[in-house]
Amino acid sequence: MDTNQLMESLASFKQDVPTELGVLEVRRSSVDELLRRLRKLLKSGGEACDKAFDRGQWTTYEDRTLVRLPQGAFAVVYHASGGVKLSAGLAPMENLFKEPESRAVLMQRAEGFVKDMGLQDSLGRAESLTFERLWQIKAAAADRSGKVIDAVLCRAVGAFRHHIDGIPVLGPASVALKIAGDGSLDALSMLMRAPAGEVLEMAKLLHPERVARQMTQRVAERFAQAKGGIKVECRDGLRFGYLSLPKRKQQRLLAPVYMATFDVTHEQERQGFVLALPATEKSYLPLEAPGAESVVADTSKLSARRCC
Amino acid sequence: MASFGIDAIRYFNHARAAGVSTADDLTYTFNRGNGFDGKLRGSGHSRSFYWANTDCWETDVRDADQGGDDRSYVDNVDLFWIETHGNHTSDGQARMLFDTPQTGWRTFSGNWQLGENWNAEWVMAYSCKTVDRGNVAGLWNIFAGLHIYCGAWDNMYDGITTDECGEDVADNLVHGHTVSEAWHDGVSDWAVDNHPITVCVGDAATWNNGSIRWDRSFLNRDHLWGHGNVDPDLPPNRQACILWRWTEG
Repeated sequence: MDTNQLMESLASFKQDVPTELGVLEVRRSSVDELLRRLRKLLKSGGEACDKAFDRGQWTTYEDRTLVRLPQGAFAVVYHASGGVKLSAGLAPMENLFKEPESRAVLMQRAEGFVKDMGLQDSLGRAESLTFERLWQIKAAAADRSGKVIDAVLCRAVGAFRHHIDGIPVLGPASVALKIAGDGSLDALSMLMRAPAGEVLEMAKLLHPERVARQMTQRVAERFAQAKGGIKVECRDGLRFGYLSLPKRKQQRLLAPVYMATFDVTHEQERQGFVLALPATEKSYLPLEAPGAESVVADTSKLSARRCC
Repeated sequence: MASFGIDAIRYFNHARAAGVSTADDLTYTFNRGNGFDGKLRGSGHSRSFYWANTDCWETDVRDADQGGDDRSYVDNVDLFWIETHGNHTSDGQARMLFDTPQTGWRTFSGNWQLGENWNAEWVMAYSCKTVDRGNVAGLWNIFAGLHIYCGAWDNMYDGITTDECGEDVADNLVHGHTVSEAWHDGVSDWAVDNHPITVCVGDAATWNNGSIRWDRSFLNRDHLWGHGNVDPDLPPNRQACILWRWTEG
């Protein structure tokens, strides 16, 4: 493993990092408020999907509210975060693109939905939503003789990033819009944790090079026992921003972090992992949660077989 | 309703100690496995097995005709979720690592034959690069009645933003998504660069002389039992094409 090269990729950091940044309290919303927002979203979502979403069967569970809508469509709001998913209920291989579309056209369409659905309307004055990445879902096939047909574009997904005071809120895409071949909306996911307004404290930020060193050391420790040659790459380098945890998690604070994604090539296996470290001396978020163990009590397959 | 099974491996200390692989432990294997398990059982589906770490064996998926025990495990359930390290061989076989040599350290999909007079409809592998997008047909032999293989054509990431993928896939299945869409959407947060792919086989009418009838494919039609249509099995003698759908960014 070439630690120098890894350090170089991490240190080739281009974002501007201020010397200090506010740690923000996340705005908390009651379930009633989340449901009100969902009703509003269903109205604009129905127009974007070209369907009527004014009737639905609402079921509230402990962690989420599910709305079953006509024609197989559904929406879910997660109570812990306010994260929302909306699906128009299209089958995945219906309504395909007839011709390949340019990235520019697909990005434009995604941006059009953000505007038309008013997804930026709920943002505060210091918040913004910017286009981040275009994903494409494609399909192909081959026959027994090995003849392969040209790929078809099934869906385009425009991913957008929420910013607070110009600082990106890292984590899952803040908004992702899945667009079908006829230009209608197939699905939407949205996870934007908004600040309550108050800056809880101003925290001095660690220099990216210091965090790059920490990350390189962590990675080197993980593979210290590896005798064979392994290759570790960090293609996108270090990223800085606030962090929004996944949608099922409660989160009280938005605090600055550094994140990086690593790709490891072993002799026979491949491996990918994400590291996130606090950008401050103090850690405000559970960035290194240890991971769950199996819910199944320790059993032995051998003894299970002996017994049965 | 469906029956399902899980093989989830977080620790690879035995494989490393034996010099079999340098692959590191995973962190959120059981966040995903437990989430998948809990959501499906909470919706009335039945878990047939949930093996963890060294209780996961390569024989669980190897065909009984080739010395495996798939008829007791992977081929005895409708839906199988596996998480471990993976890759593919040069001839397009999926290859996945286990942490105990019972009886091999790795499984090779050339030894699988799923759905063959048994149950298996869908396999979901949260594992890197088990499908070679340049040679998807390298997986053809596994479809002996199996409907869809859900895997990855490049890396799949372990991290705090992908720890809910198991729950997401299961939620999607029980909310009525197709199996293919449940996988693509469930393992994608549209930020981390996961690379899902779903693969199925089709008959001559689906191939349609190369003008594919996508509407007829398992990718378009199959849902989890109890949550929508499930097409009948397609035996090998009626399989005329292999179809795949992938996400790239």
